[in-house]
Amino acid sequence: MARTRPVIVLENVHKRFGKVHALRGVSLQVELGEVVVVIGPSGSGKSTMLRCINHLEAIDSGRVEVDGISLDRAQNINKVRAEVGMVFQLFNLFPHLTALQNITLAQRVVRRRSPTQAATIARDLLVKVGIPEKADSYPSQLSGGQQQRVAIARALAMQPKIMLFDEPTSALDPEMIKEVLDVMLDLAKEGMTMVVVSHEMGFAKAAASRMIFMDEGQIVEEAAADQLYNNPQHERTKLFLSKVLH
Amino acid sequence: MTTENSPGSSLSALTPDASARRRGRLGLAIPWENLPWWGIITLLVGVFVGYSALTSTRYVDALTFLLDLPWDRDAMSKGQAAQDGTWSLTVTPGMAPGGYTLFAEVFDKTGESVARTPTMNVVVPQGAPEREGTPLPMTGETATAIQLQTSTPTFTGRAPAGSQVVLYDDYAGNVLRILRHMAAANGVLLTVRTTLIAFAGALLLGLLFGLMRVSQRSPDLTIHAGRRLLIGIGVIVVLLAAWPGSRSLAIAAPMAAGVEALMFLLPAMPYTLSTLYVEIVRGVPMLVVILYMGFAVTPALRAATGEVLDLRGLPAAVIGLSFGYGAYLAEVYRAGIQSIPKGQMEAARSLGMSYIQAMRYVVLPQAIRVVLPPLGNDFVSMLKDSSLISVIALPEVLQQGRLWISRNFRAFEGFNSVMLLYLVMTLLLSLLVRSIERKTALPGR
Repeated sequence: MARTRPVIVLENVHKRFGKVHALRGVSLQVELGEVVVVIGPSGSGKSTMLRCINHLEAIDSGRVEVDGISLDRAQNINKVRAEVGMVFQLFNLFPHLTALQNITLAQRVVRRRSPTQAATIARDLLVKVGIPEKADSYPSQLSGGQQQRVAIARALAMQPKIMLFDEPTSALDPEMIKEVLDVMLDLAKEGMTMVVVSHEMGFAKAAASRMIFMDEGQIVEEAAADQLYNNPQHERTKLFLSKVLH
Repeated sequence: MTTENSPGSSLSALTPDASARRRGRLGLAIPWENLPWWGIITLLVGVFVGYSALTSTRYVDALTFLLDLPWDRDAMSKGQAAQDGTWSLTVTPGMAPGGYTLFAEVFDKTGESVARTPTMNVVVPQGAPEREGTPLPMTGETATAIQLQTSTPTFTGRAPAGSQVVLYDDYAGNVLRILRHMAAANGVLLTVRTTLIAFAGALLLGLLFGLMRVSQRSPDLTIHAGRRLLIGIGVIVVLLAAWPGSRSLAIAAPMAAGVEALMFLLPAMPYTLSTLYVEIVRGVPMLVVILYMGFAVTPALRAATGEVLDLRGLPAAVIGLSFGYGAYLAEVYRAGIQSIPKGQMEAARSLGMSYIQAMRYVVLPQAIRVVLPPLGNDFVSMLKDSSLISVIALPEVLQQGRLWISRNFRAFEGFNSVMLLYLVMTLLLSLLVRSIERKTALPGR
């Protein structure tokens, strides 16, 4: 594989929450078009790492670089964030806006698109995630899976270079997981750079170019998806997978 | 069942389900939600009017006084009819140029109206001098307006000896003038006016300080510290240029140190200042705030600015109430903003919105819906507390009520009327707030 410029670089990143040392020297490089799936037990720092990438958490030491821009605390972070889409575990849709307005809001106030242009993009994205008929529904009128798909469309509307997924299916009913994963698979096929915190093995096998196992704030093991599943090198990884895979 | 929600359907009240739901603690099956709101008010006023008509006729007089009625005429002049049964009234000081519709009303010794002359249209031309004019008898309607030669005209007529005669300017047809009169009226209208303006001010103050209260408690002061200190130097230079007296080391050095310290601590200021404001003002009785504003701040400002800045009267009352209530509203806003899950702010920020944009488009629209009921509560509360401004001699409802009582020696009628007017105002207000809540409610919530 030809080496391309990495779009995400983490270098020896440390993050503390009071006495809790959440990230203990995490280093990671993600290249353009890569899909990286992160697994690990709860409290291992997966989400924190993801949130450091778009600066929802400020790091204590180390270096984070996104698309060639170093995220130091005095930077104008909003420009970087507009290039990095984030999908949350609990969707975090804006409950006072319809699905369509959820998708158009940031386009209008951040990208300064006209309402009609923003709405056109939003409707196209709703078609893409498979719920064009829900444009005028409020989040409370949508199922969990539909809400998460609107949330993905909302992030995509900013035309980000990178998409971060923080356990996008773990708050969903089992039968709704597939509809969200399908959308994510499509995205991966289109060549979107993605970092996904998820334990969905099917998705990882189908889409991940790389998998990462994290524990206690450190990256323990890093390998291709098949290899990490079938032939984990580390004892801790084996133990975790034996519990997850039954 | 589709009849369930249709208002006025008497059948729905009879179905077991609906009636069970409507039965309150008393076991009464009154369909309250179907009673139009004005029905409740009419009921209240009706009971009151019926009761008072049976017990005393003084209520009409008290309510008229408290409402500062009539709103459609101004008394221009008043006097007594002479022994020979004639009266003559001169308007002083002079009338402003313009058209007037005048009539005279005759009252007997008990104050009852006994007669009224036909109206008479007159025009006071520009630059009419203040001099004695030929007396104009007020007898019949005039087809065209009479051009006066003076701004202090005299009118005559006949009335029983000793009766009171009042010359009125009637502007019942002139809506603008009625509104202008109402805007200057005492009693209820002053209370309404004060409350509306003061609440608008408190809403703004509360929002401002509420937003400051949710800012970071101990922000990282090193971020952009250099930039801030540079601006501080600019401020110092401007101060030195504008105030020649400061150009000595003894003054300039502490001033520079103070400005730079302030600039360094600037990010921590919003939280600190708003907390100080809330804790201090909330801890002081509203009566003290109003007295302080009326009798300490206002005279001091007047003296300091050479009577240019004169806040006496309504401005002092409005500022005092706004300032006092802003502290409560700041806490209401703070609670509302903090009740919105953190994920909302994070989602907005992750889309590239700035903190201000996220507040403006995502957090505040949701917070407003949360704080509407407590805001309505404080609005009603402020309406009632506006009675406190009577201590700085503003003739609002309570002050006027006490004046009426001291003139008529009728405490029950006076206070009952005051209470009725407050009740009507607060009830209307809660209904307004409830309808706003209904209109802004989100579907499916």
